Amino acid sequence: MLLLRHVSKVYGETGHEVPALRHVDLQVEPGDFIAITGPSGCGKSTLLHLACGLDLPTDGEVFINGRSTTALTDDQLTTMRRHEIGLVFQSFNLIPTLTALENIVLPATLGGRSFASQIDQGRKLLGCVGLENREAHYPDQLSGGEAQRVAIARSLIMNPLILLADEPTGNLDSESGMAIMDLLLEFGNVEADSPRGKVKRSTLIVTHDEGIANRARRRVRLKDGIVV
Amino acid sequence: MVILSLALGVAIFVSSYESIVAAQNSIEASAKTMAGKTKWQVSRGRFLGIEEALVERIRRIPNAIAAPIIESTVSTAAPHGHSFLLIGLDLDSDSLMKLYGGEVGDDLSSIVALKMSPSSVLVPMAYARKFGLRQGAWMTLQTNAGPKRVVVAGLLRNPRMALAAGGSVGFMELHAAQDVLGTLGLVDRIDVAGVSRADLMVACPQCQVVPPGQLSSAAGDALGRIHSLLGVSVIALLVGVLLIYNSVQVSVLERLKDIAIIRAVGATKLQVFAFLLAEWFVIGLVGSTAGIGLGYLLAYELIEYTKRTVNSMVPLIGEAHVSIDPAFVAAGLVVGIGTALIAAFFPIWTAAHVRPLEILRPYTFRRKHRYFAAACAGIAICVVGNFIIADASMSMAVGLCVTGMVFLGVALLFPQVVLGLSALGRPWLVKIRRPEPYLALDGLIKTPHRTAFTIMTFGCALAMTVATETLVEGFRVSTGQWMNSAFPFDISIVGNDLASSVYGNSTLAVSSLTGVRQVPGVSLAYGVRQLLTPFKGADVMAIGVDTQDYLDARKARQLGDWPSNFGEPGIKSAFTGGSGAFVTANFEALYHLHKGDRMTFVSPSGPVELKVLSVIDDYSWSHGAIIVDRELLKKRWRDDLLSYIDVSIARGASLDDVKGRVAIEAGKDRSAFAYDRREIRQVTDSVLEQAVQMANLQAMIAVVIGMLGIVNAIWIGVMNRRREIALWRCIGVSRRQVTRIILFEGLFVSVVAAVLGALGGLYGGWVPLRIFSFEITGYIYPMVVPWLHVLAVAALALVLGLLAGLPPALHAAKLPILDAIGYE
Ligand SMILES: Nc1ncnc2c1ncn2[C@@H]1O[C@H](COP(=O)(O)OP(=O)(O)OP(=O)(O)O)[C@@H](O)[C@H]1O
Ligand SMILES: [Mg+2]
Repeated sequence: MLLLRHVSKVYGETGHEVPALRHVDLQVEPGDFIAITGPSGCGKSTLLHLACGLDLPTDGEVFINGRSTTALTDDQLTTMRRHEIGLVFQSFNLIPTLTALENIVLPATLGGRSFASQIDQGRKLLGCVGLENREAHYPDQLSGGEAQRVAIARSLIMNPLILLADEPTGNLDSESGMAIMDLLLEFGNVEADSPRGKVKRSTLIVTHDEGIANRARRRVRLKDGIVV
Repeated sequence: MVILSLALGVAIFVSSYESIVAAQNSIEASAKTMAGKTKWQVSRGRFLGIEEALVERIRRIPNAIAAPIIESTVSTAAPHGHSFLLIGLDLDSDSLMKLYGGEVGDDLSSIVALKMSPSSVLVPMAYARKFGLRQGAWMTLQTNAGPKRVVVAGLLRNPRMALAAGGSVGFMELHAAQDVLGTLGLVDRIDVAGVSRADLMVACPQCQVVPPGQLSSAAGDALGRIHSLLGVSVIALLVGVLLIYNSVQVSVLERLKDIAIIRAVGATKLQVFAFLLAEWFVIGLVGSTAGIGLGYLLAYELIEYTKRTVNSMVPLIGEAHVSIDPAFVAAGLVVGIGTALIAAFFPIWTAAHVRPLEILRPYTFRRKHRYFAAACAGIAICVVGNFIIADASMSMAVGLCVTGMVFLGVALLFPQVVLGLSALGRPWLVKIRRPEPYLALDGLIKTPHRTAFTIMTFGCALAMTVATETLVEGFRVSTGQWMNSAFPFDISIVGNDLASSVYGNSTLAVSSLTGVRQVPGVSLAYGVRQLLTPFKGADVMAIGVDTQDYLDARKARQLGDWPSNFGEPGIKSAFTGGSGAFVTANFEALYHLHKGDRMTFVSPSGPVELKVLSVIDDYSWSHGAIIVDRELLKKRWRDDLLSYIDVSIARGASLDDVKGRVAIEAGKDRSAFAYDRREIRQVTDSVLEQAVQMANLQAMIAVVIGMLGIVNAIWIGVMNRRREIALWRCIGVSRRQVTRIILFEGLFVSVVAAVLGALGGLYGGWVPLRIFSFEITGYIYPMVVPWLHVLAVAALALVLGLLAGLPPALHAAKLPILDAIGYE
């Protein structure tokens, strides 16, 4: 499903290289729920960016559903992100000019569907994250936790195979953090569409909150760009 | 980009103002040079001529120096036909030397040559070189007395007078000039020094005694046209104001976070305000300095244009120089910096007063914009402005102010309009199976004021082109109707080549009319005389027609009564009897004379009283025209010449054949040119085009400025939304889709701008320009909507809008996603 083989990532130009990841090997199976932990600067975000094709490795290969990200064009990577991957960041996940509902349905319209046609699907997801009465609200009218829930709902509208979240609870108090984690666990256990039929979704979250990490089924620790 | 647009605005302003000043100075300077030491110029109106005998009377006054002058614009023969100023000088007395110094007298041998040969002329060396004339060469001049051949007796090295007249000038001996012009015993004016005005008035009670240097009406006309450019430049500058406002807003918005942090760490509102304003002062200074430099460069070009425009009517402007006037440089700086500060004031004010917390929140999107009050104020201002404009008697300055007012009103109103439009558009866009237009609209209404002003700058620029075209179209259509209804002819024969000079005053002899009537294929022919005559301080045109022949020609064409009340008792007899005249609509408006009123003209045979019989639409002359029976001109104005002969061709005759034959017939003893209706139409159109050429150029510059505004606004929009764009890309928006979203923004802006431009332009063409055009041309045109032009402008707007969106769109598509995501 998601395979990192001997992946290295070096930032910066020659002379000022910053190695962020060193020969990382990681295999994510369907139904996996992995928490990536580690100290600040150890390469967690980098790993996640490589895993969704937002960035390319300097060495090694990343396979998403069997396809190497290095071999794909920008357009193919974009389509892949659109259909197969859900992404949630620590903050600023939403388009400020769109309502909660519009934010959620946006990915669904990108393939050539109208906003109007996706409204029902969007409402359903809003209901799932417990925000059915906030559909017309704009991001600045939502609390941090509510905004994160909208972001999760959006990441799920395409029913992706892989859900990636970079410190989704980083900006929240522990209570709302746990609520988000509940949601992620709930959706992580769902079957998603894949070219090979229904497959269980895999979830990969980055966190440095031990309480959150403990609830994951599998943990990967990074230190100085190396899996330990 | 801000500096560039500011510079362009100031440049347009400076250049048009400078070129007017330079042209005016040049015309005045040339008048002065021509006048030499002259204190007074004695004449009897510009076109009547004054008896030569009067010179002796004036010379008898003690200390008087009097020099009779003939000054007549003629045209030279094809192929190099152009206006030529013929100056006749009295070489026998020493008055010439006394008044003008060694102007002509330097070259004794040429003076002798002038005296010896009856039809010899001195021309400036530069002129001779230009047209390949040598001493002893022959020139043909088209004058009222027909074509006259004169010989170049000598070349003048560098006469001041020639410079003043644009180089196209020739000097003749007074009597030789009279002979060539057919005005024996008459001179145009007498230049006098050494006596008081009162003495002169006694010597010649009916004379006008004026100080030298007054503008002729044609020159005034030409300058008036250029004045209209100043009006356009003010509009261009207003566009500049909006653009700056836009940019300030954008740049302040961009740094809103910095401002908030500065405020949060303890800077006062005033400190922030002063700091930002100082910054824009510097930008204003840099922009207007650049603009002034650019403006002066542009002014050189404009002056060339001005020279051509004016000289195509009367050769008046010689060397017009751009003089760098410190006062005006200062004015340019003040305008530029003032514009920058005014435009910067409000956004800075808001920025300084914004609460730090508001800005530091993660999602800073103000959904509720308070534009409603501003919109109401805007509507109120527009309504008031409209009422003032409705009063057509206001002056140009008031007109400009009101234009500015309406502009401001629309500016206040527009953010609300943008919001309203987006609210209207949303329900449609959510149904489209593509998210791009929807996202584009969303990006635009994020900052309604910026979008509104971007639309306005572009819209106003478009409006300028539409307004000019509306006016031109109005003129074209009304002259077209006029030509159809007033001219029952197929061919018109005139004395000068319209291709080289539309304002020639060559004439035809009455004998030609008789000859033309006998040409096979001619069914009807009538003659018309047009001459200028002084009236209430202006030169109005008196048009004399052969009434019965003209009426016959109308009847043959089945044109209606002319004018509509011609059939009423007494009208026809008063007209043909010479006690009444028809006046043109602009004459009525200019001199407030209406049907039934009486007016008195000065003619060579004394005062002529005429009754206004009827008012007709006519575009012959911008200072107004009267139409009389030609018999009256013959009797009272002592003028039995024809300005043109109009010919109707017989059924079945070939137009081209007849045209060739009548041209030959009328051209037997003087030059004559025959034109059919289509050709005359072309000439009037091309004159019109020339007149608006410059306004069009300025409008085009404004369009470019407006387009820059779109690029600027959309670019800034992209920069401000880098994180959003990165987010789009993260959730699966492809590069091509990003490009499309940004292009849609440009498209939306230009669509609304095109609508605004069309409406605003039609309004602008209808109201303010109509008033200016009355001031400048003396005509009030009917409103004609130039549909084709509006469509073309709309298409252009869309293309330009897309083009303007392209650079920011490509930039947005290439934004590195990860950098922008991390961007805080
Ligand atoms: N664009 C970049 N250019 C240069 N170095 C970078 C870049 N992005 C990340 N790095 C470096 O790579 C290393 C790993 O960064 P990364 O963002 O993956 O860490 P992280 O584990 O997510 O840290 P945190 O917990 O603070 O978010 C860091 O040392 C960082 O300085
Ligand atoms: Mg990180």
